[in-house]
Amino acid sequence: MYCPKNALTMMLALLLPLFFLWSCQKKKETGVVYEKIRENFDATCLWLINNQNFHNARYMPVFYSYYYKKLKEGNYRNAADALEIVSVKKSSYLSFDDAFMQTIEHFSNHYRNKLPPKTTTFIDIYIGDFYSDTGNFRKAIGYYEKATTVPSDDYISCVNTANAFYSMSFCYQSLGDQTLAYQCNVKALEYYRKTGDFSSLGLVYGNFSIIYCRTKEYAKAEKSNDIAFEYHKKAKDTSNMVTNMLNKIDIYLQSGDKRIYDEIEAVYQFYNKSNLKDSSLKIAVYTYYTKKLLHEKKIAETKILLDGIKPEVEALNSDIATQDYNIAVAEYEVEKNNGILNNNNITKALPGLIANENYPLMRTYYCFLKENALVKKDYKSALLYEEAIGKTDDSLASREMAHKVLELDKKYQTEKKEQQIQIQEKTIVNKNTTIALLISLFMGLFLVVVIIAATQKQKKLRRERQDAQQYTKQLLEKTEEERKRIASDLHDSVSHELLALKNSFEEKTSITNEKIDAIINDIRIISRNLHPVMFDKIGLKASIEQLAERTESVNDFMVTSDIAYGGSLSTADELQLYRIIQEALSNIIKYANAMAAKITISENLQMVYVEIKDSGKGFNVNETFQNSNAFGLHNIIERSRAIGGQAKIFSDQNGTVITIEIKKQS
Amino acid sequence: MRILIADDHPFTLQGTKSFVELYGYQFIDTCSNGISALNLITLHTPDIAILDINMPGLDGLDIAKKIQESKLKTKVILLTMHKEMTIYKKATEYGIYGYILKEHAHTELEKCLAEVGKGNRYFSEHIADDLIADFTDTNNELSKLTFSERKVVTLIAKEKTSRQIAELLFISEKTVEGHRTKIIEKLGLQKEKNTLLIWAIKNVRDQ
Repeated sequence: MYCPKNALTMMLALLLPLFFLWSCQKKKETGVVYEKIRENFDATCLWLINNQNFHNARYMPVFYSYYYKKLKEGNYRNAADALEIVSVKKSSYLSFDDAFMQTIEHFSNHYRNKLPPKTTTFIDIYIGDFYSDTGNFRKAIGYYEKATTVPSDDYISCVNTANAFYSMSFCYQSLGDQTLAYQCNVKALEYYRKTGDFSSLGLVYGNFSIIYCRTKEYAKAEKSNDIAFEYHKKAKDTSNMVTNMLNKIDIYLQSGDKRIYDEIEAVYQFYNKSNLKDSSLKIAVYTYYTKKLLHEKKIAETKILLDGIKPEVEALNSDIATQDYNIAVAEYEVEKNNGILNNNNITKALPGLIANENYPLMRTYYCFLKENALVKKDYKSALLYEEAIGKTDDSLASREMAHKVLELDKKYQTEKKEQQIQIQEKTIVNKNTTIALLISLFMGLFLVVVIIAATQKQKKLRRERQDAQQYTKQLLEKTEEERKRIASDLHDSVSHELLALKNSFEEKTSITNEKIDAIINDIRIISRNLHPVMFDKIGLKASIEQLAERTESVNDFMVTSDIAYGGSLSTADELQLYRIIQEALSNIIKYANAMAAKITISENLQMVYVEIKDSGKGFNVNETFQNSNAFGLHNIIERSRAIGGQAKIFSDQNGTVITIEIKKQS
Repeated sequence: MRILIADDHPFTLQGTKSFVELYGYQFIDTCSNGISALNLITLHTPDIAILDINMPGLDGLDIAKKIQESKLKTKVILLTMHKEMTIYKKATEYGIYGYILKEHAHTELEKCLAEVGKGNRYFSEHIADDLIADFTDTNNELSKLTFSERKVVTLIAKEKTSRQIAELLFISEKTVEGHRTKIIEKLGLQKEKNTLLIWAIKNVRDQ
């Protein structure tokens, strides 16, 4: 499929004056989107494609005869091809006419659905171009949109869609809706990116620059323009490079940037070095250069330059170029003559200035004209100029006001946005803080609960342990009481009864006496084993010593004692201690095979220390504890605990040491 | 001579009283608990008080202690079933004059009263029984020695040094040396090198 080769170029050429009216002076960019000629065109089509034939008087008749012939033959494909070629040509040369439009519409109504939609988007684009040309942008946008709805999945359809978006962007710009223009341009960029065509990308970025210029975002405009320049440079498109440079100057001119003269110098040098022979570009470059020369007060050089391009301006006969030239000449005149002016040049420049809405320059010129008129005593003209000055002032003021309002609005919008962002950030921070606080609160609560639960549990455990200990202690004490009672009953009552029996015998035989004595002795031993005799009277020290002596004599092993104890424990506790020592000694006798044992009791202000050691063979403490028959050891440990003490048992092959530490009750 | 007898067992009290009367003592007072006994003693300060140890209220030992503390001239004889060395020792601390076991009263009371009456002290010979174990069947020579000394000799026979013996018996080395000297003295051994070792090996090992 053939593609609109010069459509954009020509359209831009047409619309450029409009741009000027909006004071955003953009120079046209020549947009060669891409060129892909289908190979199977027949001779007529190829003839139609050739640009040189377009201005031939026979061009349209040839087309119509071919077109209707093909339609009659039912060869819609070829008819559409020819139609597309001609429509593109007409768009490119901005040569719109109602007759061709009717042909397009007729084809669209009767034959379009016979062809795939992808191949007929040119119809919508042409109609869009048609309406765009007549200034009916809304209608044009409708057709362009229709063109963009066709899915684009290959190179050509991509380019078509991109072109449609690009044209839509232009229409929106013309309607003054820069936001939509921007959005369409973004779409166009998206599709051009797919094509990878540098020239197209350059055009799109150039368009961005125009949009930014409109919205007075000069920094962004400059940046987009630079990008466009880079793309044109890649595409080796010198004329568009020059256009970009000119646009940059224009941006500087509008934003009052000081770099403008450097840029003028640059474009002037660049143009002269290039081999471009484009009069419109040359005039634009040179007229800008006169600006620089005048700025540097090089009046003579300005004159030479202006005279040099005058023939070309006249030859080009372009309104824009002529206006630019006239303005440059006027500026020169103003600079040259500080008094009387050549009114001619100024009045010639005025329409251009009015077209461009260049109010400051207009005002200056009107002032000059007024003064001139006054000098010439042409008061009527002076009055007219005075009025013009007033109007210009008003326009200037209103424009500045508009600028200011725009600026303030922008500032307000920015600030509003910033404030919103700040508020949002604040909200987020607040939210985060609240969340963090809540989390920490929960964690804190959780911790507190855990700690309380743990302490409660520990307390409960401690209480239970204390209860258990108390119970053990009471049990042990009760047992002791019981034993004591039995012992004393045996000793006091039974022994006395036996004694009475012994004395009651009239006839005293030594046999019965001895027997009774033996029984008394047995009871004495039983009772003593049950409970140490008169323990509360005798005390711990004496009782232990007695125990040691008895153990020695009965078991034939040596028990020494070293007791430095003043009786700081209760009798019940002392009795338990006695029992512990008794148990320890009995264990030694049973298992240790010891030569000797030693009992040591000492005390300080807080504690009572008891140590029972033997020189026996020792045993494995841990193993023994795991055995079920470690009753002796458990007995020692439990009794120690019951009296608020702690028993430790160490044993090796050299013997065993049992230590008990008892805290004194204060 | 005035005598007080205190015992909570009526039969024993009666028996003791009849014994004492039998021995020809005239002025006899009796009571069956410790408190009235002490009251009677402080009131009448009898020459001799025959007290049981186990009594309700105050026991014999308590009364003996009070008498000693009050410096009364009453001489205390404890007549008891307790054949415990500890009790006997405790009682002697309170300055008692006599200690007799009830089962031997019929043989010892008269003698005791007579001695105490003269101002002497009398303690039952049966109390010592409590401690002495039966070693009579063993070596005659060894039975001369105390329990500790016998232990030391046994260890000497096992060729232990004084230090080792001290460690084994939980006594000081000095004490072991003291025992050695005592043993040699008691056995009447010649004062020559290793005399005790040689004797011990010969006499103890084959036990």
